[in-house]
Amino acid sequence: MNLRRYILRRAVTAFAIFLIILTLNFIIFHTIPGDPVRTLFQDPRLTADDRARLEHLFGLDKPLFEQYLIYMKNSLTGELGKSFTYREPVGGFVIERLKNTVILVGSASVLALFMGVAIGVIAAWRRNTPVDFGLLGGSLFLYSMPTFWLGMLALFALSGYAPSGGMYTPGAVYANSLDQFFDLLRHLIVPMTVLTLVLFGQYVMLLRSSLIDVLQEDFIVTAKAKGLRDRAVLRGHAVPNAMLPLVTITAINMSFIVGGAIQTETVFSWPGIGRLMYDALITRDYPILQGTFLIVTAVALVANLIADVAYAYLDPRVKVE
Amino acid sequence: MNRTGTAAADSGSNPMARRVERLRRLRVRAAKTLRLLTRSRMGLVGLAILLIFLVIAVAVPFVLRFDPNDFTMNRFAPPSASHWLGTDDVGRDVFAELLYGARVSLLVGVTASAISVAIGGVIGVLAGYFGRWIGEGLMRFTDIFLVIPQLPFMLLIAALAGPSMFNIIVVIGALSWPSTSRIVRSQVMTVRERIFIERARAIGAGDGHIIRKHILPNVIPLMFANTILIIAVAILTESTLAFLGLGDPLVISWGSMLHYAFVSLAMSNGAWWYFVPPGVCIALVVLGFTFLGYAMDEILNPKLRRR
Amino acid sequence: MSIPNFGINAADFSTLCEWGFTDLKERKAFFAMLVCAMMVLSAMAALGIAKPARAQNEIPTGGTLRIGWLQEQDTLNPFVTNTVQGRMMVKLFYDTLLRWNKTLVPEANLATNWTTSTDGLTWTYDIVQNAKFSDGQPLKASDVKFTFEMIRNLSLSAYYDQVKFMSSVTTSGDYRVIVVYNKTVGTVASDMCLVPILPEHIWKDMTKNEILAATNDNPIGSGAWKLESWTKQTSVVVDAVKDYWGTAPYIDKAVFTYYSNTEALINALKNGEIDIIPKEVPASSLSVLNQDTDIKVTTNTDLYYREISINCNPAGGGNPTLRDVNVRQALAMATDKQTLVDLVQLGYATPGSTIVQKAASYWWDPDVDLFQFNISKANALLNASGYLDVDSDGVREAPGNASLELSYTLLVLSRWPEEMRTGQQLQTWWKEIGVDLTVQSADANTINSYVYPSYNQDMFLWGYSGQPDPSFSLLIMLSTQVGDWNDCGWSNATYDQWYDQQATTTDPVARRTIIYQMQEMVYNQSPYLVLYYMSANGAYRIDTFTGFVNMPTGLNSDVNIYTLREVHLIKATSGGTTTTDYTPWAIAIIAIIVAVVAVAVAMTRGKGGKEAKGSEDKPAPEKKA
Repeated sequence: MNLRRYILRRAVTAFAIFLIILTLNFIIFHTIPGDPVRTLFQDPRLTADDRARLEHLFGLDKPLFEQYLIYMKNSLTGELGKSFTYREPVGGFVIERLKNTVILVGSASVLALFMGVAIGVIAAWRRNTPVDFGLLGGSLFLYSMPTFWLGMLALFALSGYAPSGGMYTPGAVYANSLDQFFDLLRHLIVPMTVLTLVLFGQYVMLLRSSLIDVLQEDFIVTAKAKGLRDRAVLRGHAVPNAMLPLVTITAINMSFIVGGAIQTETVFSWPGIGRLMYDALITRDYPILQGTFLIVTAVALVANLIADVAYAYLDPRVKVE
Repeated sequence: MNRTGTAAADSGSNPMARRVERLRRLRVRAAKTLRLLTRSRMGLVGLAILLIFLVIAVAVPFVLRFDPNDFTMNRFAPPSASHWLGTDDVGRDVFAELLYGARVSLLVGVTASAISVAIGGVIGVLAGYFGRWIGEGLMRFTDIFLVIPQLPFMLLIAALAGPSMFNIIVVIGALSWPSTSRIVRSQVMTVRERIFIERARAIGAGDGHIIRKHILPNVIPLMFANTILIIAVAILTESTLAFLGLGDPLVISWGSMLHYAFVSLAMSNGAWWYFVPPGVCIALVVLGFTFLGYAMDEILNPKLRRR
Repeated sequence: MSIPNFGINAADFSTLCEWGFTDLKERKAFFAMLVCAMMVLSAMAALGIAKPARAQNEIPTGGTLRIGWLQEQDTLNPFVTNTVQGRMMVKLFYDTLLRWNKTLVPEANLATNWTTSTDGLTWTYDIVQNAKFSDGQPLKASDVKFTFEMIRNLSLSAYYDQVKFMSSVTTSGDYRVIVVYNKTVGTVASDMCLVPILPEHIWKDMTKNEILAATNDNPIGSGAWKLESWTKQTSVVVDAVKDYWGTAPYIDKAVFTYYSNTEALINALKNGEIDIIPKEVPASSLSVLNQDTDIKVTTNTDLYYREISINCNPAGGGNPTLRDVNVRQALAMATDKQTLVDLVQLGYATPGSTIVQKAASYWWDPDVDLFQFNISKANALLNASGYLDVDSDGVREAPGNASLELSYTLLVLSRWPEEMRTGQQLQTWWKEIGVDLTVQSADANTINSYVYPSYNQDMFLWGYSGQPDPSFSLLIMLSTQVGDWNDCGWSNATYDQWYDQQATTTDPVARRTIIYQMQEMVYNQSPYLVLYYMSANGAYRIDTFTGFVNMPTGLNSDVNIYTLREVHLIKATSGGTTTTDYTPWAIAIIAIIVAVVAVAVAMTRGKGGKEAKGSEDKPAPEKKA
């Protein structure tokens, strides 16, 4: 079985793409208007002497190509530069924030997947009935709402009932870790619900259309011909097969999920990677912006890689060349 | 390009007749599409929503009773007979802003998706038609853009480019094409292998000619459905970028209304009339385009239609 | 916990079930969905029930003051920080020789008493004997000497202006410092309120590069507060130093919580998640907060103004007509600052005039002859100066150069969305005097890159915060500062002379006379259109703590160090830990999880298992196409 070779090839491709994205990132950084040292220190009092010293310190006096090599090496070893604002390595921030984002996005994604699959199956089975139209319409309507707006509505409606933002109560001293966990849940529930509502519409649509596709496949027709009842066909054959594209879609959906996370975290002050990006955007802290962007991209690449491999493993029809 | 080959490949040798024939075929196809569309409830609802907003956008200058740029001291006034949707944080008529915003949001959506489909279409056609080297290269290029999370990338670029309407349109257009190019490519690849193309090539038709006369007519309907779906995405994206403060702050769009509503504390002030209507409008228009797009897709995608 | 009734009666419900559900399994799935919806709703209801309970239980207790803010410090390094928040933090961890009292007059701090020689060149300070750094080392005169000398010798720009005229710093014993200046300096007392005294044993071996690169994440100082933790973009926790040499703070801890948006900040105060917003309450929420009986709103002038900096640099780019003082004056006459105050700051600000902050009330000139808002006078001035609309397109042209229009671009900082309103309003007014204004939103880096080094901007909207002493505010306009602080490129030799003169004048009244002249000159020349002196709007909850100090610059700042030291609990019994009843939340979460799992089970159950009768199964209706 050459699945291993397939995995290896996909991994090499993913890595190559990552290198290209890194390069792209370098180019983008060098198109920032203005003098990097002045940008970095935002202090007009710097003397020419200070500036020269700083340029040297940040390696900005080296030839562009050398800067590029250094940049590539640093990025690959996890050194993502220093924040303009905090003068601290970006890597530290990003990892801490990634954890918080995973809590929010992970719980919302799982919920959305469950809801999406359930509703998608009903919609596909009842294709072109009022049920289908109602379910699909409802899911699409949620999907059509701007995420941040849904968040604003929730914040407005629940003002006074739900915490106004953050992950934990500021200044709280917890009796035990269970107490702390409940405090986290309390802060999590509203943003998680908002993100779930926005995400699940996509799964409904995807599952519905892939299920409709599967229901027309020959093996389903065969199964029906063999006398299997519709319900058995649906559960035994159609749904598992229709779930396959979901594996890929979940990975490709990373882009969409990250978008949703940025908005939700902004509205609910959730200290995740999305808000890190938003805050960096406000202060134009380019190293943080770029660092988070790189990390998010790397995560998306890995997710895609896993999805590819899982797909190849699960679907006997995929030709592993 | 080989002109004689062209003539021989087509049904008639008279250019006028050919044009008429092509027009006829197009009309037949459009009529069929429309017929199918009216059968699809989803498509009809979508079409209805969009028509309403289109009328609003076109009719704006004639119905506006207030200048959406007129500041007054009448802040956060609740809805009343004179201000149907109340006023905003600088005393402007929210209803007027909403109508005016319809134009901007639709304009951004349509323009950005036109750019996106143009890029995606060209890359998709080239990749599908030329296969092997060029095709592979273009697809790897597409893969890169497909895997990059879009919103963060747009934030990065828009932040560097500076907040303006033009930048927003370009950023959305230039970064949302990868899915189009994939769809177009796969369609082109199936068309490429058909008999009539083999025939055209056999009698010496050039690549440009084949693409123009045989490939494009077969992928344009698909691109059309895709365009409609991309408009929905573009409108949503515009509102998000504007909300995050990357839109042109002087242009009233639904997204920038929500941005100002958020930063001017409309929520704490209880001014629901400032932040609810723009969101409802965005959701409705996006829903309209999505319904229409899916209905079109269902009609034009042979696999979905077959039953 | 009750299941809410959403007004669906049985008949409706059965119709709902008939609506396409043809078999039992599917109906079950639908029921599961319904249960899911109900559980979510009842979870929400549970949260609703929690509200009255919270008022009793979630009252913040213990000596922890929770402060909310919208921007946190960039770094705790006193030589690098570039934010008001950073300077405030520095004041928490470090002491200065003198400090501003509540009316902004310098008074004793580390230096219990100080004397000046008759020639004004020698200053002698006696410092407290029981001060010590947070690592246990005592603070001695040698630390003071070291701090001043290090700043001077390494020319550390953050405090260089405060020590640059010191010719020698000597100590006499462990607790006396003698500073000799090489010329008389009018600002010594206020300078000594600024410079933090650092421990020699920590900083002595550091090079300039190391100092500028340090994050100082564990600041060791002699201040009343000690850093406990700083979780970036989340919170900063500081602990009171119980054995502080002065009066130790009453509270145990202060937590500064960072909010990324104002809605959340205001909500947090209303919900009692924080106790105080020191100065960042947006004007648009003051009326809302005023309605809350648990909240007290304070307003005060801030040491801060916003201004439009007009490019007057003869060597720079930008539209050259702006170098004509008549044009600038016409623009000033066509700017109604009171309306801007009402419109943009909702009345919570003072119309701007001179380049000294109004909160520095002793030095601020109240009697400047102001330009009245008068469009026709502005038009007359432009006509008289030869700026006519030659091609009748509504925009005036420069005399003798028909292609040079009075058409400008105003850059506005993108993180001040409210100032876009200012730009829009200016567009309207200036159009009436034949000036075409384009308003453009830009970030600080973009604006900087316009200004430095070649002054290619037309004008931009910016803000300056000052100190109780006006030296810095006046320094901005010096010709030597062109390329540095002087971002408008205006200069005047007389002004420069006056600056040097005031700096060496020790008699406050005489110094003030000179400073008044300087303010008037800049106002009339109008390189800056000072739009408004901002108000520091604070708010605090009155249900737990008391003793808040309202000063110019707000309830807590780098100048107002008093609130944190004087604030205390109303009832001592409420001290301790935060106890919150999280039960409703736990119920809510569990309800949602159960609901979702129920749906999932309903969907997947029966796979390959017992099936309903075949007759019940019927294929989905075909699409008739």
